[in-house]
Amino acid sequence: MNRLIIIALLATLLPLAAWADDDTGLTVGASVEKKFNKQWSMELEGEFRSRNDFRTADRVSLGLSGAYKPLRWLKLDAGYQLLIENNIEKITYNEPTIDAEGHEVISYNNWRPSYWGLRHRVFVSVTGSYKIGRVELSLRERYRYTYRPTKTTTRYDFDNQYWEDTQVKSKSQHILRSRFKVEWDIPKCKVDPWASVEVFNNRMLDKVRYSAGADYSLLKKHTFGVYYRYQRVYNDDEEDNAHYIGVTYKFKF
Amino acid sequence: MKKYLTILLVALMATGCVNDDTDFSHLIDGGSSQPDQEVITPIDIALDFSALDEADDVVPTDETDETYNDYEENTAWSYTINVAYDGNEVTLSGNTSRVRYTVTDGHVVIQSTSNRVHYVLSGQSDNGSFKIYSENKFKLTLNGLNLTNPTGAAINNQGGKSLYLVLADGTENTLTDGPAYTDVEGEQMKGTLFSEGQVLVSGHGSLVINGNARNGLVSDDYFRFRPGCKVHVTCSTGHGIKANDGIIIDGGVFNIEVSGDGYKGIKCDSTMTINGGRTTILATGGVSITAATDIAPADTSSCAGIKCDYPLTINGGSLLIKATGEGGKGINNTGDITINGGSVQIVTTGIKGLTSPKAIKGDGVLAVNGGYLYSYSSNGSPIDANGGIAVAEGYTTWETKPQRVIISFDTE
Repeated sequence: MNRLIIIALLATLLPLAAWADDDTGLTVGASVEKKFNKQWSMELEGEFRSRNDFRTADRVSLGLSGAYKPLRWLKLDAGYQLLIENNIEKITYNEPTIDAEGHEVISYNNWRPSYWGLRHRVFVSVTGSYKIGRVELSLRERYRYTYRPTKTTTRYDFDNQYWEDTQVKSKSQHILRSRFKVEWDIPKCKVDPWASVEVFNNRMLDKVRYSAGADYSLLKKHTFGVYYRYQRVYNDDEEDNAHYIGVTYKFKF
Repeated sequence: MKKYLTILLVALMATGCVNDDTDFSHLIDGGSSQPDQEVITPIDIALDFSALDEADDVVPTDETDETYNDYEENTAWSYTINVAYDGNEVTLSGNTSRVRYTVTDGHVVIQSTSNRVHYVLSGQSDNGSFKIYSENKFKLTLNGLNLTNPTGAAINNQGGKSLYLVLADGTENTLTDGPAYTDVEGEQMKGTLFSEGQVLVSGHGSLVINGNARNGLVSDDYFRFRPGCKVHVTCSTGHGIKANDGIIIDGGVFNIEVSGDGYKGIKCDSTMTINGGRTTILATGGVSITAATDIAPADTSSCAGIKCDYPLTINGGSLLIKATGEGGKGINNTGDITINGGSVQIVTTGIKGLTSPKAIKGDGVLAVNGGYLYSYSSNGSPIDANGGIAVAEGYTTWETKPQRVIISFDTE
């Protein structure tokens, strides 16, 4: 039964990954959760993400968060994440010129290759949930602040034909994430399917993530998950529309 | 379970190993995506207060010589007025009847219609100044003066005639302004030492200028510096030395430090000539941005060692410039630059940002006819001369690398 659900889920989702113009990537996450009591818990989480049709490492992150459940249906949590990101290349062009034959000529100005850099991220969120039989609906509102420190890297100046140091200036980003999630607890089945949609707002609509997956619990301590995610980007220069296959593992104690 | 873990492991090993950058190998160094660039360590340029062994200049005696009047020795100074500062008190002595004057605390204001007056300033005041309205040229000797004016220029010449500034032999003199100016309507006061007329500096003493509100040393006419003088200008709020109608350096030791965004060690709105001496300039400020207006777009200005809007000619002496700010220039000249002799050494280490760092930037021709030129830029062009580079025959070294240009006529 469990195997059938997983295969069916993947079979349904694989055609989506074939959309030609969008990127595809893999996310692999592992976490450890310590429950102190019914209200308090802490979680240490690591994640790896790839891009460029699985071929290029995109990000590695490590996060620590704490959660408090004052009510059965209400959860408050906050945390910090250290992100090590492979920032995508940047190419700039000179103003177009007209050649002798009247054609518009566009030439390269600068090329800053991709580079690895740090980001610091903190978040606070509140999650409300509601059960209807075996189905649980939840809504999470998360405020996220990300800071990218100034970084010196190199770029190529095509006009002068040399490499030079360049500073990528520090940058802050404030995001409000709103996620609606549906989980189905199937009777006598260790696999719990779920689906969610999450909207990222940064004064205007930044991106939307549509996700569907399933979690498989083993001995209540181990949870393995697999999911598919489609990310539609509306207003973010650093990311493309992308399909992700995700694999997760969580250890609870 | 093992099967799933194996699949996951293989997938992980297969992912994330490829760079997704655009392949520019056909445009960049024939194949390497990031070729090794020869790392050139620039020469070290630092302020140099050591004595300079230089001969005194020859004072012209022919009245038809166009520079005849630039030499105070060619005037018979008939009247001497001594101005002695002592804290908030000032004592004037000598031929004081030749002028009208007022004294308020440490501030002296002279009104003069007399000719051939020689003022000798000495002493110390933390709240004093010397301001003069003179209808004729005059001589101003600094004889061990330490003068600070918190509300304006320390020395302020509102007359348009020549100011012969003599640094008495062996004396150390310091002028400090600011931090806030109290302006007089209808008058300009552009720096710690400001003169509406030309300033002709001579003597074998030293002068320290501290600019804390505007520029350091300013003439709305021109400057001539003669051998023997030692000038040290430090300014964070403006240019080090600024002249509207030209600068001539015949000799002397100059150390100029400017640290404000967009400011220049020497800003000359006319021709500039260096005939001798040793001039060292450190410009460390970043880029200043002027906001757009209804009639003009936004503009940026980077720091520079020398900014000159007309021909710059170097006939002798040493010129050393280091610009470290973003987009900083060594020499930024809208006219031609001509090096006939002497030594010019320029290093820029600033990054390329809103503007590009360049050791020498000229809108005209850079002509090197003699002497020695070392031009280095770690993140920009060592030379960017829109009118081209013209090197006379007879050079012994002409080395051009992406970061450095050396041209030498030395035969040693």
